[in-house]
Parts: sequence; structure tokens; C-alpha cells
Amino acid sequence: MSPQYTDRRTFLSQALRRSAGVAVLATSGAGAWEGLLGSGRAAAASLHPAARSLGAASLQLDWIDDIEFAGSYIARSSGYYQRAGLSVTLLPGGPNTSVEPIVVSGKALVGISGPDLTSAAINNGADLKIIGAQMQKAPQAIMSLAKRPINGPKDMIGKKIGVQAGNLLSFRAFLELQGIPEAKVDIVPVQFDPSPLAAGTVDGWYAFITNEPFLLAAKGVATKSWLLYDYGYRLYSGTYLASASSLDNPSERAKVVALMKGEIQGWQKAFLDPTLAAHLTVDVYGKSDGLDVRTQQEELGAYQKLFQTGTTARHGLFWMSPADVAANIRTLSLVGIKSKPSYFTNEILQEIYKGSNQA
Amino acid sequence: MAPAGLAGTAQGRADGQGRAHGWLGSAAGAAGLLLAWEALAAYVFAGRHIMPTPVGVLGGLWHDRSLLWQNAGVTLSEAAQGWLWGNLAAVVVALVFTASRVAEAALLRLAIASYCMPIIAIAPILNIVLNGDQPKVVLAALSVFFTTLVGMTAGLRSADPTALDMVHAYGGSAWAALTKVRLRSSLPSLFAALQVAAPAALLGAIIGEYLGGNSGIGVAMINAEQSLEVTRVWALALFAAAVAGAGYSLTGRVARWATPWAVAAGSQPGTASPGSGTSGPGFGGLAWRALRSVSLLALSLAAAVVVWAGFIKVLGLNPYFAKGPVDVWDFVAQGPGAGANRSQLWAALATTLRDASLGYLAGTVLAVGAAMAVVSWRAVESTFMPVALVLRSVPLVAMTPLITLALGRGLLSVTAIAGIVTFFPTLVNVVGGLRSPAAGPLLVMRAYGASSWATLWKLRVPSALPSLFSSARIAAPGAMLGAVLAEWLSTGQGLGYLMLEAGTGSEFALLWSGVVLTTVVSAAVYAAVGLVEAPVLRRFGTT
Repeated sequence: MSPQYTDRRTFLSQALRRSAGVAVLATSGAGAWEGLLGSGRAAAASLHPAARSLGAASLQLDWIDDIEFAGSYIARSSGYYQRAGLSVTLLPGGPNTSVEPIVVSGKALVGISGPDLTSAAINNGADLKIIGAQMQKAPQAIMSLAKRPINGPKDMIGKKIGVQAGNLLSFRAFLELQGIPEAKVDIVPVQFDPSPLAAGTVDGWYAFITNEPFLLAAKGVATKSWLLYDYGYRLYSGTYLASASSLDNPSERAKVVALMKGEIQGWQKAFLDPTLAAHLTVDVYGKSDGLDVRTQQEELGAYQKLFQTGTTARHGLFWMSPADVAANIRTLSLVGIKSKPSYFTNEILQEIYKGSNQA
Repeated sequence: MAPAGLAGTAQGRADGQGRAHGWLGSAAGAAGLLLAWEALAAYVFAGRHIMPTPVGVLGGLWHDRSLLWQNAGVTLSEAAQGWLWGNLAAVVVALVFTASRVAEAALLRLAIASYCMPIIAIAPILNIVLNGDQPKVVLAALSVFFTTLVGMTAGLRSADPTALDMVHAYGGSAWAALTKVRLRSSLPSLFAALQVAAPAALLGAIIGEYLGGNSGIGVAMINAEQSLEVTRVWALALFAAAVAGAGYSLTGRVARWATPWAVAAGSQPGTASPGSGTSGPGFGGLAWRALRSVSLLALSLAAAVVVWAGFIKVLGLNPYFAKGPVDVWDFVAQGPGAGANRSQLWAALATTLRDASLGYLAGTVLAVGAAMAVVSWRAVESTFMPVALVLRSVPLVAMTPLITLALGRGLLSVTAIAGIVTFFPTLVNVVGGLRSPAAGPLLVMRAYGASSWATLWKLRVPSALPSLFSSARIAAPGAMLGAVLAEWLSTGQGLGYLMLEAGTGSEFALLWSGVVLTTVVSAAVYAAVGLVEAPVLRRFGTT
């Protein structure tokens, strides 16, 4: 699959490393890092001269390479970012990545995070805006073993539920929404690996409906899951964020528009051609991760159900309706995360869609 | 003092014995380990997606071979760069320390702070400031800097005073003394430190990969854990251990080739720690020493604050995530809610201290027991020491998930992890200490027909006491950091978890306060061990 693409990836990283050496020799102190970033970007931009070149930018992802970024992979390999005039570097995240400070620092132009984390960041002084929502319904779910199912929120009382650190805020919010005192559920802090559920150490697992159920199914472990969203936990997930200052600066704003246009086109394509999405993920981006094509494709199907709703059918992918934004703010207020309509803006999407529902 | 140095010595001695015997013993040790593993996997953890059998892991290693090599290349390159820069910096700083006592007094505590800083908490900050592989390289460099600094400084100081006097007597400059005498004498303990640095650099790089990356052992591990590829998790952990072990023994070989005299003489690197104030004769009274310590401490604190604020200013970091000394002071002492913030930090600290002390105690007791067995029975040594050295090089981040799976997410896991950090330096150091009695008294004991038990208690144990303290300097802050790591990855309590939550929730004032608190407490533990060490060394001092 597109050898040009793989080459580009390796070439880019070499270019970055080479220019890094030069930059460090040539400059010092603060300048070194800026020079490094700048020359890296210049190198990246010069590779594929576009019709009207806006330069280069980075997109900070919040996890390591897998299918949840398939739209971005397609946008790169099919040249959607390039066509919009931008050369985009994808920065993979990991379990300990904080996306918000990386966007605030300018290391990435746009990031992917959640409305809870971004709102908390804005409240703590980060000058950020949420500019689109991939998942209209949060994928958060409670997963249990099919042989010992947890059938609904009230069923969690007296059970051990494994919750990862980054998800504690939202799990507590959900308990509050359900009127379940925190003391009645045994919250067990866990990492991302769902084996404690398979091993029976915990009864329930704070899961992503797009992920863990498929992994366990592939291991022959049958599970039952339900979305928190369906019990009133109305929250976006995979929201794009950018610095408010880049939205105000015309040249930066043009880059944000180009990047988001590539994202939309990439995701439109991903749902039309899941095989391409899965192969790009497994054979190119997550190549060193040893991913499984079938699982990744099944997961993509689960993502599609969360990305595409009535709202997106009318206004296009990532669109944030005022009613949904209000529901998000209510959900967030449950954990004491203050959020406001002004934290969310459709202005970039408006500029791209111009009233249509396709980009 | 370098536990590192003694590690080299212990291994040197093991090698001195019959090679065939050593090989047989190691093979027996490895076979025992494999059998225990097979039994655990097949009977205790069967069907729980926790522990694959050795055969399964072997199959996994073969099946994933291209994936392993691909990722190993990336991680090794990061670790090697970090190893190089960290060690280079350490050697340069050690030379500065040797040249100027003033520089040492001012900078040593900053160096200690670099060792006591919870690198898992500063990793996200490095990730913001740096690009690409750089955060991983810096973490690898930070992981090796202090131990090499200590080893190199001790080595430079261990120069034969007669030789130094000779140089001076013939009108040689300090430069001549350095190049002709000191550098040569520093080599054995430098090499020993470089040896320990190899697995440490790998550990730093893998922690960095937990921040995100396209490839690398850490990235593959996150994916394997999330995908419930248990066999692959183990294959990766063992592979990482093998790579670390290879780095360790390769450096050891280079050391024996480059400094044959060190092993031949069975020499031990000096046990003087830099700046501990214990190496010289005790001038002045307690009051004078206390006054000196306090003023040095104030100086170092001031230096730390300047470096910290300067770091933020020079890099032009955004105040939203880059909190300076003033912000932290406001957060814990003056601002609104400072009282609540303090009690949150104190509660977390209490948990971490409990976790670390339990781990330290468990690790020390086991290590002292194991060390006694090792010096008493040759068979134990040749069976156990190679296994221990291999286990020592398993990167802790790789081991934590395995320990958590096996022992659960409670106190037991955190004790085990903090204990492991304590166990290896203590074992290696105490073995060295138990062996340190001069040949004369040992011969006397043997001539009078004393049992090996009597020799152990009457001669070896007293001579090993200083080594217990010198290992405590590395092991006690190590136990703190191990506890923080375990809390972070596993138990969800204490300072480790508080910092994780603070980082993900954008509560950066809390995160920076946590980093400062952890660093200060670890450094205080380090200093406290030094204070106790001084009288003990004077009482039982070997030189």
C-alpha cells in the first residue's frame, strides 16, 4: 500500500533528525528547540509542494497508533491534508500523554482529547477552544463477563469496577448522575490492560465499547457492555482542540481549517472504505504494534455508530449542536467541571462545510 | 560510594572461580527459575490470562521476532544516546567536583535532586518541551547521570595518595595529577558505573515511550497489554531484560579488558561518597558540621530554585502548565485553599512513605539474607548471583504489570516493586562488604578452626555494616521512587497516583508541588542516611 507513503514517513523522520543535529549546533537555549521545530517543519513542507502551501502543522493524538485515528491516516495517505495545502505530522500519544499542554505550548496546532479534560484545562488557564467532536456519543461503557453480567448502572452496587486514572472523573460523574453513592461501588484503579476482568479480579470494567469487547472476544472471552451515554451520560468524545489564539490569527486559522478539512475527508473515506482504513492502520501506521486487521475493522464499525448521528447527517461529521453542547455542559457540571457554551465553537466546521454536510 | 563499583567487584570474583563450575551453576539457576515459572503458569495462573508458559513465551518470541527487532532498534537508539550524554555529563561534572570543592558543595545537591526526582512525573513536562525521540533520550540520560557521577567521583578520589604526592613533589600541576594518576585510578569504578548505567538507560527510554511514540519496546508493550496479548507482554519484558542484561555484561567485558589490574588486585573502589563529609577526618564539632550542612542546604535550595525558574523562563514555557517556585509556594502556603492542598499532599506522602518503608525493609532483609547465603556457600553464589544480575536488569516498567497481575493491586505489589529496587543494590553491596575483611584475620579464623558461621558473625558482618549504609544511600531514595512508580502504574494511591491525576486533570500546580515534595523527601532520606553513615563508617571504617 502506497510505498510512497511509507517512504515519506521514514524520510520525514530522518529529515527531522538530521535537521535536529544542525539546529542544535547552530543555536542554543530556547532557540534550539524552536529552530529544531521550525527546520523540521520546513523540511516536511518542502517534500510535497502543494498548490497553495500553508506550511506544516502537527496533530497531537491521545493514544498510540490504532484504528481510532484511521481518518487521519487516510487523510495523509490519500493526500487530503496536502490538497488543503498543509503538511501534517501526526504525534502519537500514550497512556501518560496530556494533550492540552502540548497544544497550548504550540508543539501541536490541533489535538484530540475529551471535553472533560479540555474544559478542566480551560478552567485552569489554558487558552483553548473545542472545535469539533468525532464521537457524538461517548464510547465509555461498562463491560462485564457474559457469564456474570452487570446489566445496568444499579447492578454495579457492591461490585468491583476497574477504572483507569484518566477515566476516574467521568466514572464518578456517571455514579452521581445515577444517584449511586461512590462508597457503594468498589472502584479499583487499573491501567489499560483488561486482563483483570478476564482473570476475574474485578467484576466490571470501565471500557471503550469500541475496543475492549472486541479484544476479549478475539481471546474467546464473551462480554456484555452498555454505553454510559444510553443512561444519560451525554458527552462527546475525541474532541478536537486548538488554541483560541490560533483561531484569531489568520494564517494559523487557515492551517486549522486545512487540517480539519483533511480530518473530515479522511473519516468520510474511512467509513466508505473500512478495508483501506484497517490496512493503513495495521500495515503502515501501527506496523510495529502487531495489530490484527479483523479486530481493527470490527472496531471501526463500532466507531461509526458513535460518529454518525442525526446531527452529523444534517450538518456533517464533528458538528456540535447547541442541544448536545448543553447536555455536555450538564454532564460535566456533575463532577464539578465547569464548562460553558463559549468553550465550544463550530466556526471552523462552518468555514469548511458552508451549509453542506460533506467536505 | 558506588554500589556499581561493588557490583563489578562481585562479578569479578565470581568470574575468578572455575569457569565450568560457574557455567554449571548458572545453568542450574536458570533451569530452576524456568521450572518454577512453568509450574506457576500451568497450575496456579492457568486460564486467567496472566502468565503464559515458558514454551508459550518462546513461541511468542519467535513469532514476533520481526516486531521485536523493529521496536528494539528504536528503543536501543534512544537508550544509547541517553547513555552516552548522561554518562558524558556525569564524567565532566565529576572532573569539576574533583577540581573544586566549592563547585561540589554547591552542585552536589542538584545532582542528588536529579536522582531523587520522580522521572515519571517530569516525563510529561519533557514531552511538551522536546520533540520526537528527545524526551526519551533525556529520560535515559537522567537515569544514568547520578550513579555515574558518584562512581566517577569516588574513582577520582581513590587515587593513591603516594602517587599524587610524587606528582606534586616533582612540581606536577593539578592537571598532571589528573591525567597521570587520577584518571587511571578512576577507571574501575567508572566502568562499574557504566555497567549499571546500561540497564538504567533502557529503563529510562522505555518510561519515555509510555508518553507515546510510533514504535519502541514501550509502545509495543502498551499495545500488547491493551490487546490482552499476554504472551507478547511477557516476550517483550523478557526481551527487554535480555537486551539490558547484554548491555550489562558487554560493559563488564570491556571493563575487564580495559582495566585488568582492577580485577587482578581484587581492588575495591573507595567507599567515599562525594560531599558526604565523611571521608576526611572529623574536623570541628557537631555544631560546626550542622552549621555547615544547613548553610550548604540553603545554598543548594537557592540554586535549585534558580535553575527551576530559569528553566521555565529560558524556554519561555506557558504559565498554564509551567509552574514556577512562586506558583508552588502560593499553592501550598499562601494562596486560597493552600491548607486543603497541603493536607492532600501530606496524606499522599504518608501513603508513599509507608509503601516505600515496607518495600525498603522487605528488600533489605531479603538482600542481607541472600548475601549471607551467597558468601557462605559457593553453590548458592554460582546459582543465584547470575540469576539476580539478570533480574536486576529487567526494566521496572516492564516488570510492574507482571507483578500487578500476579500480586494484585494492593500493598503487596507496591511492597514488591519498592523491594526490588532496594534488593539488588543492597545485595551486591553487602556481598562486597561481607567479603571485605582483610586476608590476615580470615586466615587467623581459619587457623583456629572457626566455622564459616563464626567467621560470618565475628568478622564478615561487622565489616559489612558500612556497605549496608552505603547501599542505603542509593536504595532508600530508590525505594521511594519505586513506590511512586508502583502507585502510578498499579495501586492508585499515594504521591504517584496524585501526580498522575494532577497531570491528566490539568492541575499543574498540584503536579509540580508533588514533584517538589517527592524530590525533597527523597533527598532528605538520602541525606539522613549520610548522617547515620558517618559515625558508622568511623566506627567500622575499612580504611
